[in-house]
Amino acid sequence: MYLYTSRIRDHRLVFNVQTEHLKEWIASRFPEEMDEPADGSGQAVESIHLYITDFYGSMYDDGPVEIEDNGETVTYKRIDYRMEVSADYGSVDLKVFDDLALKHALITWYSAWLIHRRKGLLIHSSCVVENGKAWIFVGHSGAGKSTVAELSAPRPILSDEATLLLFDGQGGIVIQDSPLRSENEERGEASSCPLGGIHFLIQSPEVQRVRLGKVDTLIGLMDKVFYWKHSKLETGKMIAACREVVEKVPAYNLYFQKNDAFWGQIS
Amino acid sequence: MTISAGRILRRQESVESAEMDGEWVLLDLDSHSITKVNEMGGYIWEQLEHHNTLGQLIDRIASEYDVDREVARRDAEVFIAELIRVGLVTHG
Repeated sequence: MYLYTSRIRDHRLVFNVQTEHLKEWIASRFPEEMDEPADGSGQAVESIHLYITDFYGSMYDDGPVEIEDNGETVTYKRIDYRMEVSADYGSVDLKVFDDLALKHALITWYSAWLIHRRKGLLIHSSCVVENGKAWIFVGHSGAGKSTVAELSAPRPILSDEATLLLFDGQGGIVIQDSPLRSENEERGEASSCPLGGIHFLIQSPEVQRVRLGKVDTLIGLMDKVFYWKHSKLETGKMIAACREVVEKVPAYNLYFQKNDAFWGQIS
Repeated sequence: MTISAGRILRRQESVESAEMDGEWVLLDLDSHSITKVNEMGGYIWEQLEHHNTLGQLIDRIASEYDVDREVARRDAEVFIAELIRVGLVTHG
């Protein structure tokens, strides 16, 4: 087995993986834990243990994720992975077929853990930094989330597929550089940034942005959280987390063309 | 749909409601359905917790919004019929 320890703000992901390939995949995405600051300023850290093995199942076939919750463990099953998670989501036993399975399983677990611990959300979106604020872009498949990220160079990109949103414990919301990316696989240059707002993308010949009401924002945001329902309590927590985001940052419909003119509307 | 004034109306138990800036959203945790309602709808939904017949609702709306019972009845009937249609309320 190979050991790799990653640290994301107040939590530590301890990976025990079967193959060198798995270790390299994880190490190229999740930031490695550095030594604790000697001045004792390190906050309380919570550790999650993930055991990952390869050579399971067969190639993904567009089939569903099945979830079984027996009170002690939650088991997620798809044709290309099987993931058993402890009731507190703090221990993960994952068997995968390939990299696609690994990424999907990690998104599924991480989002469930963030919601369970009321730490944050993983949102199906891209996120770009401008003037010290992180801006989330969401839209249906093909609406231009990753296009927006590409068009935004040289602005730092925090995510292109799964935005990692964290509550900082002091009432603020920060976007952390996402370890789970689709195109731009290497880690970004910015590690985290306060959230400025959310944009729902609509392609249009006319570039403009229109402020959205909170209820519409809540509905739109809930639809984009990576979440597989299996418990009313967890669904309630997911909704509460979305509400907190909606109460704290503005949201807009962004009508845009496939060029970078839309930044003129944002900043 | 006509609903008689004395029938008991029951809110679906698994629904969470949220009010933001005068708009309401009713979220059914079982079916994951989302229903957006206006301020009057949110008021009726809240009242349904303790005033669970159409007759009682009409009394509440008429006094809260200072409208005559006929106006209150029309508002309440339309809204309740919609809640029944989407499965957020049952009537027995």
